[in-house]
Amino acid sequence: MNIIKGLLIKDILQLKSYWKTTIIYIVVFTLIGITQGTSGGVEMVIILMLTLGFGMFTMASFNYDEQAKADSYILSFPLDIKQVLVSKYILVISATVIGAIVGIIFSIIIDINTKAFFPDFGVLLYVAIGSIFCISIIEAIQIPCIYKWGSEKGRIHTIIAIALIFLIIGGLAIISQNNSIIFSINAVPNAVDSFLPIFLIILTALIYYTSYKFSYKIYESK
Amino acid sequence: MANNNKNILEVKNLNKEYNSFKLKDINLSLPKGMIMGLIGENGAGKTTTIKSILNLTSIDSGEINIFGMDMKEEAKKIKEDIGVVLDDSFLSEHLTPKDINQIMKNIYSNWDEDLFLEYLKDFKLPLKQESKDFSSGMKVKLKIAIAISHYPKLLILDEPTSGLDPVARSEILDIFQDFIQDGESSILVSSHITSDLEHIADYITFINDGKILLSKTRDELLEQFGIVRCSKEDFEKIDENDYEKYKINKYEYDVLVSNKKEFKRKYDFKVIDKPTLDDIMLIYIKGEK
Amino acid sequence: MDIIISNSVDTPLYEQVKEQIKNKIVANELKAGELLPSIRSLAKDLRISVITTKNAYDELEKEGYVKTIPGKGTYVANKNTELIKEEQLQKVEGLIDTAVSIAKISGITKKEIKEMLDILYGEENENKQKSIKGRKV
Repeated sequence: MNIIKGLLIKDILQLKSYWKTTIIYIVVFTLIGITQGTSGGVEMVIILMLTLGFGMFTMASFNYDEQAKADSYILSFPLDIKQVLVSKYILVISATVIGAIVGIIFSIIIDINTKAFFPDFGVLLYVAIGSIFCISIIEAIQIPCIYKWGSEKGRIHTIIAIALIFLIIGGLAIISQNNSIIFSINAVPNAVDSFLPIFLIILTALIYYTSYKFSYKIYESK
Repeated sequence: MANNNKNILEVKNLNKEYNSFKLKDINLSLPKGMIMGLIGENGAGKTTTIKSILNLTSIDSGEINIFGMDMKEEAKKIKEDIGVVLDDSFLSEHLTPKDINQIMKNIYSNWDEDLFLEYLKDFKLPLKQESKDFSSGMKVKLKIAIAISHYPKLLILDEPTSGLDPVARSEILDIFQDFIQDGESSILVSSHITSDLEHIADYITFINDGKILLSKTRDELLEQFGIVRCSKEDFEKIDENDYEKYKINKYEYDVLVSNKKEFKRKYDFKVIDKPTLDDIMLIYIKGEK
Repeated sequence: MDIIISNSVDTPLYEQVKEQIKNKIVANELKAGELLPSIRSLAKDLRISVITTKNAYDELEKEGYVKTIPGKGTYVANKNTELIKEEQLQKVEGLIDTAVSIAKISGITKKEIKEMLDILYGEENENKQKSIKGRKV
C-alpha cells in the first residue's frame, strides 16, 4: 500500500504546476455558471465540465512520466506492474470523482446564489453519476491507448475511438428511430428514482476494470 | 546455493533478442565489496544487459541471481536492496529533491530521510529546486544520492559519468569508492569512458556486439596484457596461439598479447607497451585474428 | 604515508604500491607492529581498485614484510633482518650480474669495474672532503 501511496504522491507532486490551471478552470466555469445561472441546465454543464476537467488534468501525469521516460526507472523500485497501474487508475478515478463533487458543491452555491430554486440533491447526484459515467468512458479508452501508443498518438486514437462510439450509438439511434436514447439525459428528473444510477455506477466500475485489464496486458507485453 | 554466497550478482547464459539486436550468452559474476566496470561501445549491449539484470525488460533465456535469490521469483525483495541509476530514465524534472524524498519514503522500506538530506548537502544540491535547473553533474549526483539512501547492497549504474566534466567524474568515482568501503556492497557500472574505470574497477567486463569478450580483474587485464608493436616480418614469426588479436597500422603491427611476461620470455621483441582499456577495446573490435 | 602512483611507468600498479611500502619498511619509516591502512581505505586514498591493493598486501605478506590478522588489520611484521638482507643481496647480485654481462660484451675489464665500485663507495667520503678539496683548488 505504501508503494501505491508513494506513486500517487509522485503523480500529485508532478502535477503541482498544473494546479493553477485547474483553479483558473474551476473559477471560469463557476463564473459562467453564476452569470448564466438562471437557466435550469447550468448545473449539468458545470458538473460535467468539472468532472471532465479534473479527470483530464490527471492525464497530464502520463505526459510527465513519458517525458522523463520514467517507466524503467519506476520498475527498478521494489514493486510490480500491478501497483504502477493501480496507482494510475486510483489517481484518475479519484480526480474524476473529486471533479464531480466539486461540481456538485459549485452547483449548490450557484443555486443558492441565484435563488432560482433550492438545490435538488437527488438531481445533482444523478447528474454527477451520469457525468462520471461519461468521463469514465473517455478515460477508460484513453489510458490503455496511452500505454499502447504514448500520450501524443494515444490521444488521437482516443478521439478516433470515441468518435466511433458516437457514430455507432448515433447509428443505432437512427436505426431504432428512437432519438430519446441520445437525449435521454434530458429526461433526468423523471428517472431519478429509478435503478439507473446504481446501474451506471456498476457499469462505470466495469468499464474501468476492463480498461485496467487491457492496460495490464499492454504494459506486460512492453 | 551455498557456493554463491560470495557473489552478490550472478548472470548465467543470458540471451535476449529484439529487433536486430542480440545478447548472446552473457555470463557475469560480481563478488561482494567489488566494483565491476561494464565497458563497450555505444550500442554494444551495456544498457540492455543492465535492464535485463534488473528485470526491466523480458529475457529469452538465462538466470539472474542476486543476493542468492532468483530475480524471476523474488524481484521485489531483491529490488529493496538495489540502488539504480539509469542513463535514459528518471523521474520528472519538475520534481525537487524534497519531492523525491517524499516519494521514496514510501517506496523503500529502508529509506533514510536524514541520510538522503545529508547526501544532498554533501553534493551541494538545493532541496527545493526542480531538477530541470540542475547541471548534468548535479543530476547524476541527485540520481546517485537517491540510489544509495536506502542502504542498498548492490548499486547498478548505467553510464553515470557520460556528459560530465573531469571534476564531476572524479567526484563520482569518490562516491563509488566510499560506497564499497564496508566490504559488503558492490557496484556494477557501465561506461564507454574507459579511463574512469581503469583504476578503480576491480573487474572489467568488456562487451561487444551483444557478447562478452573479456571479463577479468583489472590487474589481470591491464598488467598482464601487452601490446607488441612490431614490423610485418617480426609479426610473421609469432605463433598464432601466442596472441589474441592484431591490428595493422600504417607503419607497424599492433599485436595484443594476454601475457606479456610469457611473451617476452619466448620472443625477443623490443616494444611491448602497457595497454589502456581503450587500446584493448580498439584492437579487439577492429583487429583481426 | 606518501605513496606515489604513476601511470607512465611500466611497473604494475600493485607492484608500485608494494615496492613503496617495502622501501618504507626497509628504511624503518614504517616500524614493526605498526598498523597499515585497511585495504579498502588505501584503495580509496590512492584511487586504485581494491584488488590491486589486495595484491600489493598479499605480495608483501608473502615476502614476510607484513602480517595480516583477520578481523584486525595488516601490521608491519617483526623485522627479520636476515631475510631482508638476503633479499636485498639477491637484488644487488642481479644488478651486478647485468652490469658484468654488459661489461663483458663491451670489453670493460674486471679491474675497471672494481675501480668504478671503489669510486661509487668512496663517494660518501669524497663528499665529506669536497669542501677541503675545494679550498685546495
